[in-house]
Amino acid sequence: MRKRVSMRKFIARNKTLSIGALMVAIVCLVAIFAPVIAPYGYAEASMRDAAKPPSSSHLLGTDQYGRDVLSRVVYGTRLSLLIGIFGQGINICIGVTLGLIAGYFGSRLDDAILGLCNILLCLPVLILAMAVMAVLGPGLMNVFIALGLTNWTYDCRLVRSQTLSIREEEYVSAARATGCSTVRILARHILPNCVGPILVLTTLGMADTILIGAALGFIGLGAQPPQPEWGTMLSQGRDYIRLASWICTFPGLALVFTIMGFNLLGDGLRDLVDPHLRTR
Amino acid sequence: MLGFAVRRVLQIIPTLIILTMILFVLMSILPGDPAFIRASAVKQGRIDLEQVERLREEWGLNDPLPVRYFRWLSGVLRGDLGRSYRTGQDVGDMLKERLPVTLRLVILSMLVAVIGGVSLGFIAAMHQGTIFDLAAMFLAVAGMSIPEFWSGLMLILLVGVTWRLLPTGGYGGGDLAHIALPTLTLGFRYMALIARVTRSSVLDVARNDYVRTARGKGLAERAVRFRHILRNSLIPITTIIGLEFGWLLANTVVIEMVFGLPGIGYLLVMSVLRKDLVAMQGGILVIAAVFLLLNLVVDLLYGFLDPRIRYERKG
Amino acid sequence: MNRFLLAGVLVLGLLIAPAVIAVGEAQPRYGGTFVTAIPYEEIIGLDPLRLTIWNGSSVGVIIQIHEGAVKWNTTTLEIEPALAESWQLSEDARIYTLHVRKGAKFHNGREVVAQDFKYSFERMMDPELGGLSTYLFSGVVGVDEYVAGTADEISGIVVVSASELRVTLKQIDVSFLHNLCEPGAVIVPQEEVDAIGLDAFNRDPVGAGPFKFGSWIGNEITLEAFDGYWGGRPYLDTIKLAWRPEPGAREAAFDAGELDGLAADPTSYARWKEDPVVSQHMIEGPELWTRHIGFNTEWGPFRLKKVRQAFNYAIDKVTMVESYLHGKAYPATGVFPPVMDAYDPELKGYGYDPEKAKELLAEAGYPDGFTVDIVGDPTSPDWGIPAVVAVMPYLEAVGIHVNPIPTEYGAMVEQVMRGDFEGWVDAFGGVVSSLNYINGFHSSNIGTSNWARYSNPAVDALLDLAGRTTDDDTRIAYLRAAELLIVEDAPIWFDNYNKAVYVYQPWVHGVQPCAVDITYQDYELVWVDDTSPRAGG
Repeated sequence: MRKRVSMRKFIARNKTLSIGALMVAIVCLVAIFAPVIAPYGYAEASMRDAAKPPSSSHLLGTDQYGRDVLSRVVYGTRLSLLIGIFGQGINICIGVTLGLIAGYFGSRLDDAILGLCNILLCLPVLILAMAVMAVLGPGLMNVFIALGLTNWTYDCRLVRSQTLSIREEEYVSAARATGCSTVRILARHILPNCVGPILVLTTLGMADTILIGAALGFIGLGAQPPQPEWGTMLSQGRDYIRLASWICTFPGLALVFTIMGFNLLGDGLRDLVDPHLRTR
Repeated sequence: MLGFAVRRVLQIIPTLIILTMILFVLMSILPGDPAFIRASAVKQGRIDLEQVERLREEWGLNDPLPVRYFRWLSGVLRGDLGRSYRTGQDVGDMLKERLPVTLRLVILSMLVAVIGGVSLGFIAAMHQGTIFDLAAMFLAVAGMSIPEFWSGLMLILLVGVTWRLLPTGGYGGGDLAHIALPTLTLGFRYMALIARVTRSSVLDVARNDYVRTARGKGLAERAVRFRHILRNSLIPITTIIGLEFGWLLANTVVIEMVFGLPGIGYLLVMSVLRKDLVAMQGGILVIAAVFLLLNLVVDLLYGFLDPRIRYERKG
Repeated sequence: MNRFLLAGVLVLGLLIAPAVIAVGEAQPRYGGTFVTAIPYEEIIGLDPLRLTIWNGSSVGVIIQIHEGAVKWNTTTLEIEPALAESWQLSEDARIYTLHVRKGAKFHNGREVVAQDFKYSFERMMDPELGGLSTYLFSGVVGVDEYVAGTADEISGIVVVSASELRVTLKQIDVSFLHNLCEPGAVIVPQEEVDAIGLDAFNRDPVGAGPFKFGSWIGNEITLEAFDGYWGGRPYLDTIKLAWRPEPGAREAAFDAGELDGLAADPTSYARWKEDPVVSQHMIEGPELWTRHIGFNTEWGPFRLKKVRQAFNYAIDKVTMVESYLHGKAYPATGVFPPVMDAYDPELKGYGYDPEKAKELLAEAGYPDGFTVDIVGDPTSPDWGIPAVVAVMPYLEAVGIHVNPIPTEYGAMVEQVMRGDFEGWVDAFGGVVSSLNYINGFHSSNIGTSNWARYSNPAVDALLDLAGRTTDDDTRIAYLRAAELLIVEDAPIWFDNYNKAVYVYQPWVHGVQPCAVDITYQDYELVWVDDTSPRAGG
């Protein structure tokens, strides 16, 4: 009895968090159950039905190759989520590690790592990612790598400032005095204190990564045909904006929904964890 | 103040140089032979393989990497950014032609975003809790979540194709009709972010004691608002303007693609897609320079607004 | 009484007749501005030196400003006199004597002389200037010494007099006159190039074409009528050509009346052919492009003719052209598009027969099909990876699984020329000489233009014969015989020939279907009537 009341109260008090969580949950479920939800395969095409408007057999219409837009949008959730997960995953690995090192060891290492951050911050992430993709070539895997390598500075600085402030705490000095290994200190004392902010940053970061990933797809550097990545679908639908506007509209709506979900969830988490958290 | 400014400027130079070094190394790992690419502008195998070799010699592609880097760097310092591998045109000229387009778009969008965002956020804060506030903040979240390339396309569809109010693309000499939609699309996200930060920072400041004191002293509400609240909220607002500016600049690339504007972003995308190293390096250099310069301006502004910053310069 | 009636009718008739004739046949009107948009890529220069025939946007502008010795008639594709008013070929067909047109002037007022021809041809071959269309004159005697630097000039190009030029080739080349029609062979005045230098000349050229260079601002070039043009002043006062890469923007601009004429893409064609007004002001015709997917005949399954034929039978070209290209193409039967002299209307080509395709695959030893990587341009819907994506379902249905590999064009060319690939997608063509059009299938070109690495001695023999035959009909017979063999061997999948579509506003007259590229309009034949908003004075 008490549990249910507090759940409802929780949702009422944390509207943003709840709505965001719901939206993200929907996206995840669609991604997991895509083969069940999608009426056709994402590469299944019938040339005779090319560029047809929404109808009973194709709820969101078909694209210029005769492929079902609804199915492609549904399967697209997988690609977008993968981009977010892998991109953020690499970001966390690099950023947290470097942030811990910079914050804990200070002096030269700190300067070096901050310097590296500064260099990366010379350019907006999208442009850095483009440069990396220019070398690696287009493709989904390369999008993961490009985003992972270029978007870790926020994680790094966040963890660094957390580490800096915790480093001076008494229990840390005590741990050091008792001969705890550095790794142990980092892992058991400092890192757990970062979890909250990192969680917020990662959730918001998912929104960013998915957005940048879709932008790369739109430019032509992302997932390659016939993969149903939303950004790529938007760029393919561009020429058809007059003839068949549904090819562009629906993948875009899906993108907005997904990104908004993560943004709201991240905002909600931030309000829970630390409303004054500077995430960027 | 001056010392602060000088220090910041000096910090930029080594960063830029290291950036160019990294870029150069990256670019040279690029698969594909640029001389071949240039010669293969002649399609269908009428490629003169001797010509490819001649081009390689001419461009010094057979020299070791550090030599090529210093050659490029000294060229840059002299103002010579090289010639596009694809078109043979002088990259400096290409950039000079396109920079006004991009700058115009960026500056207009920033103005729209700052003025619109600050006003919206301020009014929302003043009417906290009302429908207006909720609607404004919902729009703000939407603005952050909507990809520009999609909103641009939708605007083209609605305003350009369906209602036929404005041209659907192209620069058209930079007149208002052609730049309106791109500016709106680009500025919307920035405006959303600024509105949110404005609102929360205004609310923060408004709660502060000294504001209550000012009201207590009997100052007119408007005076209270402007003199105390707004001015003190400016610091976080300036911060966010500075921090998010990178997004704006990055998204000019996307917007230029969507609307077909002949700016630096478009050039950059084309040179990445076509593996035109020289143009790409030039484009990235210019964007980095613009970015750093504008960050510098924001930093200086920040330092001006908040004296504490001038002295505390660690991280 | 009857005589008066008759006289009255006659007088009435004589009075009415001119009015009737005037209404029935609109007279060309001088004046006005013509605005059009160029679709392909940005205009990179107006000096033929720096360009190739594949820079469609720049070429479209160059051919208005510059003129060559000869040019192609846009509708019949026959070679017509331009700056050379006549020419003779020697007995052994290796020596061309060109007679310079009297009274032809450059925009700066100076008359064109034979020395200008020699200068223009030599500068293209000058190794220091880096001209890209060197293939145009590589067959001229003395070229090798010139390029190597041991000679100051090309000995095979001789200025016999101010009005006569003699060019000697190393061997018979039936396509040489076609080379002179290409934009790389236009005639430019040396003094203008020297006066401002190459870079400036590229942006501010002087030529002998019907239009003078006016201005180049951003992506828009303005040209003005040249009063001294040998063919007479063009009707239009001004032409504005702007590069507009977005098809949607071009379409909208045309609909709004901002553009006077425009080459249509498949999506706009789909809309405009249903439009009651625009469909009346639209010309269409085949262009010189054959879209295809090519096979590496030295790789795996593609070594077997039956596999290649199966690929051809598997795809429903007709539905593709209708549904995917919205009718803006002609399904291909063989190598030559319908507008070429060597086109064979009797040639049947491959129909849509997936059952036969499966049969052939099984006979060849691939009953379960196979997997193939196809490289191509990432974005072009007609001859790039999107076209591959469009046919993938048909191939999948017979068991051929395709991996499309988007590759930047230059990188693709390098890869294919090395032979390190399985299949590619592209379009070949853009040349008027049918021999040059089909020569990519000659085995001597393996490693350069013979991407399929195809080798058939019978085809080689026929092409060699055609190359030596100056009689048109006999040559065409050889070429058609070669084409028949090539189609049978199927080193490529014959996709479609491009259909060029040009739409124009009701006030525009004189537009022609141009088979080389419809954007290469002969604007000196175009005029606008008073109803144009840009009709001028």
